[in-house]
Amino acid sequence: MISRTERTLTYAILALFTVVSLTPVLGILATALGPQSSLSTGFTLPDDGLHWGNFADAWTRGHFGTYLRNSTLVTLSVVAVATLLSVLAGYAFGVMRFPGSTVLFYLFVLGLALPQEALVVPLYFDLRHLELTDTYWGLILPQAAQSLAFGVFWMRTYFRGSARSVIEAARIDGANSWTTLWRVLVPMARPAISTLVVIVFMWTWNEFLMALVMVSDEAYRTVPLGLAFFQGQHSSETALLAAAAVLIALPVVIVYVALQRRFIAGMLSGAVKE
Amino acid sequence: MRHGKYGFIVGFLALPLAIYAVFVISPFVQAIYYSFTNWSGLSSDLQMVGFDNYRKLLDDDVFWHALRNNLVLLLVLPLVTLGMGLFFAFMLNVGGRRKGAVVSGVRGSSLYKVVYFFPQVLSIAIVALIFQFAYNPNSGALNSFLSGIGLDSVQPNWLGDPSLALWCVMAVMVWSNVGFYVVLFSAAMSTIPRDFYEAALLDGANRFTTFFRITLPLLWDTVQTGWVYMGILALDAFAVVQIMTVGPGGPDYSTEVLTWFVYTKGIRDGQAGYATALGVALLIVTMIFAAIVMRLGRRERLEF
Repeated sequence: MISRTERTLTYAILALFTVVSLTPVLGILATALGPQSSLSTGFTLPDDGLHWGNFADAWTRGHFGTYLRNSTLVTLSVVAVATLLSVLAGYAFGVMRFPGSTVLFYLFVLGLALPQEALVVPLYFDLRHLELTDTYWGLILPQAAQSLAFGVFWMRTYFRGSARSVIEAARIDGANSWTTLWRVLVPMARPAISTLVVIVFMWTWNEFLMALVMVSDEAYRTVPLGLAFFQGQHSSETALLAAAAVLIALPVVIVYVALQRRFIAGMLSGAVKE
Repeated sequence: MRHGKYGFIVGFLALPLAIYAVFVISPFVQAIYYSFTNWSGLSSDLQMVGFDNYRKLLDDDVFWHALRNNLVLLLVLPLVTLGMGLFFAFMLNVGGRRKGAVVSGVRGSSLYKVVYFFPQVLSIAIVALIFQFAYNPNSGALNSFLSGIGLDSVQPNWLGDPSLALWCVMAVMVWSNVGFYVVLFSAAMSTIPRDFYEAALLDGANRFTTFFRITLPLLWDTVQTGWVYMGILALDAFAVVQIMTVGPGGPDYSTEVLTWFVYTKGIRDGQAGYATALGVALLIVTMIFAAIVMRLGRRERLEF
């Protein structure tokens, strides 16, 4: 049994941590609405009204429109390519039997443990040689490839676990591997695939190192990189910086608030099974 | 219609394998090769230099600073993050009381989870920016708070202070990740049958013993997974260090980490050969870490 004091204490601690989780976010909102001349990064709302204009200013001066477009394009492409290829390879590893499958599969899994930084230097010079740095492809292809380590692993686990009888039944009905996959298994795998999509989306949207290394031309900067550079140029203009941070956080936060349960469930199931 | 079985397999695997080989495996193999050369990255000249890069690395003070900082992160970050995650998850799951039930979750636990999870959805670039503001010694929220409660004399320099900077980095990483583990552990805890707790409580166990005797052993697999994740994050720390710390790399290399060191040598300073040797060292540390976790984590799996 739990005593009254103990219960009160529980709620107090939980509430305290709620404050800790939200305070920095509220702080940045307050800063974003402050006057641009102010150096304050505190939590007092400005007394001369809210400066909504900061958002417009940050948007135009920081070129965040371009960065958002770049991030959207890159993220959607990476998610599409990585998901499609993961489903194909996951199906091959999970359902078909062929010599060398174990070795090849472990090759993919190895990628989960490889630190990105260990390969980023040769990768950069390879891509520069192929003239792919400062292009969308230079951002999309390496990130899609790196996402395959998790994606192939994830989809193989799913296909391996999905009822063998379903595959047998489809085969008896005369479906070949291709139709079995797209007509039967993929529709069944919707939850697993949406988890994969959420995870790859989050990784790519937030990716910093690849974007920093592969892109020097401002026209191809993604959002996290754009924010870091904007910060370098306007380090003393806290209100503008805060406004920029709020603006670029907004799309993901909206998706999170709208889909909170599915979003959390998606990210979690990826973690538990791994 | 009958295609050859191998034709199909090639059709399914060719593209994923090709992309993966070109953009992951090949750079990795090249990294090992270049780590034995004096390649600058700027031209195609290179000579094999044997283990020179590795010898140089062992004599490089910055490398040791970086390694030390990574090891501190590797030891403390998972412990603190997972510990807090378990603590809050436990509170959410068994902290409440409802009619008829001996053990139950607190009211509104799903709301807490949504709030705690929130920092996880923010890009690390944003998180680093937010905390750079908060740590500002003159106008930041932390020092304003300290003087607000009458501690005018205690105004640390935070990121500017070599003895504090790494802990500041760590605090940011803890803040942005705890919520994920609260939710993760909470989901795992909710699968533990209620009667386990009830039986223990009837036997006179308090919440402390219930946690260590029942909850933790049953959650061990999940905790282990979390440990691997947090370890990988601790060995990375690139974005936080690059965006938030002075230099970057901190005063007196106090926040220098291996990943940032690889980047500066390989991309900025034209020492690609040396940088790849550092990358290989990072890989070795990662592998040792993974082996240790697997080894320590091997216990009898509890079924229920």
